[in-house]
Amino acid sequence: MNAPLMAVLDGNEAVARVAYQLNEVCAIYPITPSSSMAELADQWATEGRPNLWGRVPIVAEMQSEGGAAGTVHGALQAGALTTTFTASQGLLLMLPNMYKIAGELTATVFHVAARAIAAQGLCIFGDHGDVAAVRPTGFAQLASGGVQEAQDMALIAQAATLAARVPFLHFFDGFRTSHEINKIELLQPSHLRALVDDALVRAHRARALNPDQPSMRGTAQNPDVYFQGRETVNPYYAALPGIVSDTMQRFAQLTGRRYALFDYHGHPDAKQVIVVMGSAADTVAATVDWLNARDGRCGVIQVRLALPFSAPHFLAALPQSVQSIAVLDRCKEPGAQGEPLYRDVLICLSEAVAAGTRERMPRVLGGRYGLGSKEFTPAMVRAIFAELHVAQPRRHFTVGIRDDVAQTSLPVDENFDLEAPDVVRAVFFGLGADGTVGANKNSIKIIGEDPALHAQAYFVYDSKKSGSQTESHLRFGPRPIRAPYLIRQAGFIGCHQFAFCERPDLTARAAPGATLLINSPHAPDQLWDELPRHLQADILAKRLRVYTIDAARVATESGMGRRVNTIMQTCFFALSGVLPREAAIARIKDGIAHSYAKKGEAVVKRNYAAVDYTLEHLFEVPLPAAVSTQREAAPAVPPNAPPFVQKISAIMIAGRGDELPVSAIPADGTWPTGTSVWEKRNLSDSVPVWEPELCIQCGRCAFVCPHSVIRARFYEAGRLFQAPPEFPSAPLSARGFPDLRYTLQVYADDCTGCGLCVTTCPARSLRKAGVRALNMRPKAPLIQKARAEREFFETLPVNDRSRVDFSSVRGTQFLQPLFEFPGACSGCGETPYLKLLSQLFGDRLLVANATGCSSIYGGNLPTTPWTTNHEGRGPAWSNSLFEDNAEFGYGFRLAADHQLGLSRQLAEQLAGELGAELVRETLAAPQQTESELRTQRARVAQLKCTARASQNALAADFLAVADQLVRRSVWLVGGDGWAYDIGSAGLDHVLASGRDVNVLVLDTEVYSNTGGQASKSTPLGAVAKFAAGGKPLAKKDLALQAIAYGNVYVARVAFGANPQQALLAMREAEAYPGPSLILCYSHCIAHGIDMKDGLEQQQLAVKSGHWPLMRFNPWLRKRGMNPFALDSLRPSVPLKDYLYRELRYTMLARSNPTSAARMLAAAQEVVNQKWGVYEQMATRDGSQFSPDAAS
Amino acid sequence: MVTHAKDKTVPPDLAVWHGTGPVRSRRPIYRNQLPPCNHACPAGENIQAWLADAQAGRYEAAWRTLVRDNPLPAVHGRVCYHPCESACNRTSVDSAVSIHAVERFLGDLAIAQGWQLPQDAAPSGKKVLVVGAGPSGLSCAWQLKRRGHEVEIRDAGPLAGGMLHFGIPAYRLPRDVLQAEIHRLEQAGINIVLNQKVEDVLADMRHGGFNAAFIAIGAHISRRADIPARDCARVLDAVSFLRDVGLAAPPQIGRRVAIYGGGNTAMDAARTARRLGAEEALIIYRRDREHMPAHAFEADEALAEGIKIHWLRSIRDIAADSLQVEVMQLDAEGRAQPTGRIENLAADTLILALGQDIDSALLQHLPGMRIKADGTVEVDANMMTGYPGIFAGGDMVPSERTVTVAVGHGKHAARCIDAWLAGARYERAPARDTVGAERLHVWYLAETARTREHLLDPTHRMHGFAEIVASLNADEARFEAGRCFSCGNCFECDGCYAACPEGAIQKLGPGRRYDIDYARCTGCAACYEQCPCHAIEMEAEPVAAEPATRELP
Repeated sequence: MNAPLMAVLDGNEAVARVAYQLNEVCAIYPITPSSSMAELADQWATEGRPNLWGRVPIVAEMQSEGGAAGTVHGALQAGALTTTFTASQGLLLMLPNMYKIAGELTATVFHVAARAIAAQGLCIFGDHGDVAAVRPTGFAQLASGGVQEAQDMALIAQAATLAARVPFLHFFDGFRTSHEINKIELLQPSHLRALVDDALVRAHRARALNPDQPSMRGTAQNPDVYFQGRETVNPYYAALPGIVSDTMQRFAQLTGRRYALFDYHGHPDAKQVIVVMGSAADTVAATVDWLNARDGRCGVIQVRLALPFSAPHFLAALPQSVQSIAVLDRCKEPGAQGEPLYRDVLICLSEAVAAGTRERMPRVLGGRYGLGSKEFTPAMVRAIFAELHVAQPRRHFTVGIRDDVAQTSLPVDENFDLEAPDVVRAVFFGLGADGTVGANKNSIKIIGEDPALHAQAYFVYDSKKSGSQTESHLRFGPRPIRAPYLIRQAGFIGCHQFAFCERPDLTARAAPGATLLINSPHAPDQLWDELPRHLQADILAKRLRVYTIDAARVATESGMGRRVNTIMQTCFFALSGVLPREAAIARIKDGIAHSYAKKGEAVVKRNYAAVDYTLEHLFEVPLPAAVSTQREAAPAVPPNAPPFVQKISAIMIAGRGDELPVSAIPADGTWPTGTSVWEKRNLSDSVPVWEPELCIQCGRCAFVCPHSVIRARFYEAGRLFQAPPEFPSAPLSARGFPDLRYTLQVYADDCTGCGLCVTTCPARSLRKAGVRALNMRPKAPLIQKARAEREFFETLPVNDRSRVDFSSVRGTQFLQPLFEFPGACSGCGETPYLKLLSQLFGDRLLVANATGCSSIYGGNLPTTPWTTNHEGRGPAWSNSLFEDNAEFGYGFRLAADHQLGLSRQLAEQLAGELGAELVRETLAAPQQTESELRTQRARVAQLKCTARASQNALAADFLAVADQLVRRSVWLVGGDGWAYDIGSAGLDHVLASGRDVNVLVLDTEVYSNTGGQASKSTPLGAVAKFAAGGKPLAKKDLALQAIAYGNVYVARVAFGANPQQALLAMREAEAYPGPSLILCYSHCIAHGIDMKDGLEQQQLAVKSGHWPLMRFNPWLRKRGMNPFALDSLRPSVPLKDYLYRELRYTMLARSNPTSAARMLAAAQEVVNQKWGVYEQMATRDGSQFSPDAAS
Repeated sequence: MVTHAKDKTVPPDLAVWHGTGPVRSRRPIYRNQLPPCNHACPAGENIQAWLADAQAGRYEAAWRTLVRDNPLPAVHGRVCYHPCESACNRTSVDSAVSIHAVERFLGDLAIAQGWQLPQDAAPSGKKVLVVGAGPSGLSCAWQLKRRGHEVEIRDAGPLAGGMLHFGIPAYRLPRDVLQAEIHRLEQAGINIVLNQKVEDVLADMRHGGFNAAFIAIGAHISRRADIPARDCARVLDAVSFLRDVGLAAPPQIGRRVAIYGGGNTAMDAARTARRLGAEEALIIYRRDREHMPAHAFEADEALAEGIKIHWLRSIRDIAADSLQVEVMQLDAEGRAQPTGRIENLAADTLILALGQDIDSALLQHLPGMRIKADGTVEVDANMMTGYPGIFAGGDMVPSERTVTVAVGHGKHAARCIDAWLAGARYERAPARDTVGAERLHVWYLAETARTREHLLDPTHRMHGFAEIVASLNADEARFEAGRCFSCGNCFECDGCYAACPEGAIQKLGPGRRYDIDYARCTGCAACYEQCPCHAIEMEAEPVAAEPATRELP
C-alpha cells in the first residue's frame, strides 16, 4: 500500500467521484442537498472524464425524480450500470420504481443526501425522514457517518449490489455530511477496480433485456402466483448481510479502513450503549471516549447496514454486559410505537431473548434527535447516557429541543464541551455573496494541503435567497477531524460585516482569550466606542484580543475593487496561528499564483500587493478596562410588533430559534402573514434618495423595485403640518389637483441596494450630469432622517384603490403592495411580478406556489413577505410541492367554485331572514371594478351580520362559506423548473380544464433555487449546471403549447422591457374567465449578470427576438378577430448582442469557442424561425385559429 | 359625492385588440385638442391656456392671453353666465373649475396693476366705424385695433358700455371696474365718441372716411304688454328703469313693486327696486321656475334678498295699488294656459321686464338689409349685413343675447372685417376635436372642492349697490386655476416620456414639449393610453411597401 492520497472535499463530491466512475448512465434531477453530486457528474461528463471502463457515462437530466427513477429502471433493465442522486421529496417520487427495481433484483445504488420531508413545512435540511419512508421498497440501506465513510460506502455499496442483486440506497446526512468539507483519503481507480468484480458486471449485463435472447419482465400477476413471487427474493436478502460484510473486509484489505455492519466503539463491558446511524455516530463516539476516560462504561453501535437489519451481526456487536440501550432515530413516525431503528433493535433483542440466544433483555429507550439538521452535540449524548442511568427513564424521548407539550425532551447541559485543545477552531460571520465562504473554502484547501494537518469546514446558511448571514465553522488539527457539530469554543472569531457587531451572539462561540477580528470602517482607536454594550462586556469578560481592518478601504486602495475575500483571508492567516505567519502568507501567495495565473502576471502581482497592504493595515484594538457605553444593540423587532412576532419571530430573527419550545410553534404549520415588515435587514450601505424637484412621478421605480421598498402616496397638503422637518414632497405632477402633494418614500432599512430603481428612472437633471430623480447615496448619514420620514409617511392614508387608475404603470405605484421585503436576491427579476400581482388583486388573492425561489423568499421563516392591507385582507398563500402546484391551485379553484355555489344556495334559502332584496343584489352583483368589489364586500358583511343574529341552523352554514361571495382570484405561481419540467403534465392538465385559474411562470430559464440547473426553459447554448457544455436544444415554447388549446389566455411579458404590457397582461389574465398563462422573463443571478443590468437585459431579450412579447386572447377569436397579438416588433438586435452580455453564454465562448460559435449560429437560426412562426400567426385572420374548446 | 361617470378601475376589455404587430401599424402624434370650456365660450377665450398660466402664478401672461380674445375680463368675470363652466370636464368628478372667478381675479389684478393692452400693430391705413359702445362694439373695436385698423366708436348714450352700463346693476358690476376696462381700451387708441347717435351710417362713413362699419346698437326698447291699466297705475319698463338707475336718476317707485317677467332682467329689476327702498319686490311670471329664462343662480340670489316670486301668474288688470292676476297652468309643451282663477296682489308699481326690441331704424333704408319680424338684423356667417362693408353683431342680430355672445360677435366680426378690408373672406379654421371627459385619462379620482367666492350677506345688501360677490385672492385664484385638467392640451407632465418602454420620446425642454423618435417607436400606445389630457392621438401608419423579404439580424 502506498501512502494514501489525501484530498479536501465535501461529502457529495466524495460520493460522486466513486459513483461516476462506477456507472454508465446517471439519470439526474436537482434537489437540495444532493444536487452537487449530479452537477459534478454532468461537469465531468462534459469534460470527457471516463468511468472505470474507459467510457464517459451518459448523464441525463430528467423532468423530475419520478422521471429519473423511470430512466434508471429502464437503463438497468437494458443492462447499463446506472445510478441516481437524490433526497427527500425526490426520493419519494422514486418510490414506485424502487419497488420494481428491487422486485426485479436489479443491482444499482441510489446515493441519497438524506433530508427531511415536507410535513407541517418544507425543510431542506438533513434527517432520515426520506430514507425511512422508502424502507418497504426492498432496497438495502447503507448509512455513512462522515465524508470519508460516504466515499468508502459508495464503493462498498456498488460492489455489494452487484453480488447481492439487491439494489442499495446509500445515504449520508444532508448538509452535515454532504456539505461538510473534510480531508479524506481518496479512493483510487485501482481500489475500485479491485473491489468491483468484472464478472459480476458482466452478469448484470447478461440479465439485460435482449432481443437476441428475449424474455419479458413487468408481467401482470394474479392471485394464483403474485404472493409466491413476492417470497422468491428472501434468499437474496438473507445473503446480503454476509455479502456486505465480506465486501467490507475486502475493502479493509485494500485500504486499511475497517468497517462493519454494526461497528461497536467503547468500553468492552459497557453498561450503557447508544445505537445510532449517520454522522451522529462520531459525536456519540467522541462523548463515549470522554465518559469512559472518566469511569464511564459506555459504548456506541454505529449502524451501517440499516436494511436488511442483520440480527446476528447486531447481537454480535452488542456487549453482553449492556444494561440499557438508547436507540436514536433521526426521523419521526407520528403515532408509531417507535421509529424504525428502535423497532428493529427491539425486535432483534426480544426475539433473541425469546429464543434463548441472549440471556437478559436490556432496557431499550427510543429517542429522536437532529430532525431537520437540528444540532446534535456531545452535550446531548451525555444527556442520553445520563437518562440511561435513571431508574425510571423516559422510554421515548427527544433530545435537542425543549418539548414542553408532550414532555419528551431530555435536559441538556449546554455548556458541556469536549474538544481537544490542539485543534484550532475558527468561526466567521459573513453575508451571503460577500466572499466569506469562498475565502474559507480556499483557506481550508491551503491548510489541508499540509500533510501534517487535517481540516474540516462546515457552513451554516440561513435559507434566505441572498443577503443571508453565513457562519463558517473551521477546524484544523493534527488528527482526522470527526466532529460533526458546530464549534462552541472558537479561538478565532471573524466578523466580516461590521453590522454583525449588533448581533447578540457574535462572541457567544468565542473561547476565553480568543481573537476577534472585526472588519470595520472605524479607525482602530475609535472602534471600541462604536461597539454596543453587550459586546464590549463580553470582550472584556472573555479577555478577547480584538483586531480590526477596514477591508473595503484596503480593497479599493490596493486595486481589488469591492472584493474583500483575499484581505479577510490574509488577516485570518496572519492572526490564527494555524500555520506560522510567514509560512501562511507564503501559502496564500502560492494560492493566488495558482488561481490567477491564467489572468496574467499583472493580476497576480496586484493580489500579492493586496496581501502586503493588508498586513500593513491590520491593527490590534487597544481595549480599555471597562465598558464605555450604555448603548444596547437594537432589539430584533421594534416594540410595536404584534405579540406573535415579539414572542416567536423575533427570537428566530435573533438566531435563537433553537431556544423556542414546542409549545411556541403552531401545531399545523399555519403562520401569520405580514411578518417581513418587522425584520429590518439593513443589507445595503447605500440607498436611493429621492429628488422631489426632478421626479416626474411616473412610478417606474416603484414598479421595478424587487423588495417593495419604494412607495408612493398622494395626500392633502394640509397633512404636511405634522410632517418631520424637510419631509420631501412635491405637487402632484397631474393637473387638476392643486391641494394634493406627492411623496415617494424609500424604506431605507429594507432596501438591498440593487439600484434597479435608479437604472429605470427616466428623470434626469439638466444641470447635473448623471443625477436622476433617484440616486444611490451612502445610507449611514441619512438613516435616522429616513426612519423618521418613513414613520410619518406611514401615517398618510393609503390611496383608495377604487379611485386610482391602475391600468397604467404610473397608477400602480399607489396600490399598496401586499408582498413586501422578501428575502429575494438583491435585484431579483421575479419579485416585481409578485409584488404587482399583490397590488392588483391582493385583497382577494389565493396563491398556490410551487417549490422554488418564490416559495423560499415567499414562505421561508422566520419572516414572510405576503402581507395584509389596512383592512386585514391580503393574499392567502400556500406551497404544496414542487411537482403538483398546478393541481394544488386547481384545487383552490374547485373549492372556491363549489363553495360559491353553496353560499349562493344558502343565501337564497335564507333570503327571508337576510333580506330578499339584499340577497338578490348580492347574487346579481357585478364584481369587476374596485368599487363594485367594495360594495359587494359591504353587502356580504351585512349578510353575515344578519346571519350571526339568526337562529336558523342554515345561518351557521352560510356564515362558514359567505366570504366566497366576493370573487376570488386564484393564481398558480412557480418557476420554469415547475412549469416546464416537473409540473408540466399537471400544468397541461389544469390549462386544459377550462377553469378560471391564472398561472404565473417566473421564468429564469434555469432552476434558480437549487443553484442553477438547466430546465427545458434553458435556451440553446446557455451554460447551466447539468448543461455544463451549453444546452444543446432550444427552449421549449410553452406559450405555443398552451395556445394550441385555443381557450387559454396566454401572454409572454418582460417587465423590464415593457412594464405596461406586463401590467396589461396580468389584468387581462385575471379578467379572462378561463385558464390563463403568463410567462414572465425574470433576470436572475444565475444568468451571470450584474443584477443592476437586469432591466437592460430584458430589453435586449425582447429586441433580439429571444423573448418576443405577445398575448393570445381567446375572446378576440370569438369576435372574429385574430387572438394572437405581437407586442414587440421584429427583432432589431442580433441575438449575440443580448447573449454575450451574460456569463451563462460567455462562459462557453471562453471555454470552448468553436462549440459556442456553432451554438450561437443555431440559436440565431432558432430565433429567426420562431419569429417567422409568430409573425405568420400575428398576421392571420381570426378564423384560422382553432375554435375555443370551451365555447 | 358625485357618482362618477367613469370608473377608474374597469378591467381591460378583452374584446379590444391591442398590440404592435410585427411592424408598427400606428404611431402616436402630439396634437392639442379643443377643451370643452374653450369650445363653449361664446367669446372663444382660450381658457385652458390662461388657466395654465394662472396656476403657475404667471398672472400677467394669463391676462395677456385672455385679452387677446376678450378685452373686458374684469367685466366678464362678473357678468358672464360662463357656459364654459357648464361644459367643464371637471363636472364629471366634482364641480366645474370656477373659471369666471379666476377671470375676474385676473381682470381686477390687471386694473390694479395698470396693465395696458398692446399697441404694437402696424397701421393698416384702414378706418372702421363702430356704432354702439356696448360689449360687442368694444370687442370689435379692440380686435380691429389689434390688427392695425383705425377705429372710432360712436354711441348715442352719455356713457360707454351699453347694456353693461344701462342694463346690469352696479351690485353685480361696479361701475369703476367697467370704466377702468373701457378706459384701457381708449388708452389703447380706440376713439369713443359719446352722445352721437348715428342716423345715416353711409353718410357717416363717407364723411369720416370709414372703409367699413360694425353696427352693434343692442336692443334697448322694452317690449310692452297689452294689459289694461287704470289711472294712477305706475307702470315702468325694466330697460328704462335700469338705465335711469344707471344714470343715477332713479325714477320714483312705490313701496310695493311688482316686476312682470321671468328673465334675468326681471331679477335685476326686482333686486334694484329693493335697493332703491321698495319694502317689497315681487316677481310675477307666467310659467314656473323650471321654465323661467333667468339663470337659476339669479333667482336664488333674488330669493335670498327677500324677493318673492309668484309663479304661474299672468297679469290681467293693473290698478293703483293692486294687480289682478290669473293663475296659469302649463300644458304638455310647457306653455302657460289660463285657468280662469283670479287673484289679487298688492303692488303700487309695476315694472315690465318682458324682453327687448331693437331700434333698427338707422338700417332700415340701407339697400340689401334684411330685417326679421322681431326686428333683428340678419347677417351672414361673416357677420356682414346685406350691405357690403356693413357688419352687425350683438343683441341686434338673431342669437342669444348675452354679454359674452356680444363680445364673441365683435371678435368674429373684426376678423371678418379685417379680411374684407383686404379683399378676402375670413374662413374659420376647421374646428379641433373637443375633448370630453370620457377621453381624459385622469389618474386619480380626487375631489377638490371648488373655491367659493365670498358673498355679501343678504341682510347687508339692501343698503346700496355695493358689489355682492367678492373677488378671490391670489392664492385662491391660483388654487382654482390649478383645478383645471388641461383637457386636450399638453402640460408637459412627462407621463408619455416615462411611459414609453422604448425610450422613443425625447424631452425638448420646458415649454418645448416632446419629440418622438419613430425609429424607436413600436406603436404600442403606452404614451397615448396614459396621457391625462388626451393631447396624443394614435394615427394609422402611412402605408409603406412591405419589404419583400424580412430582414432579420
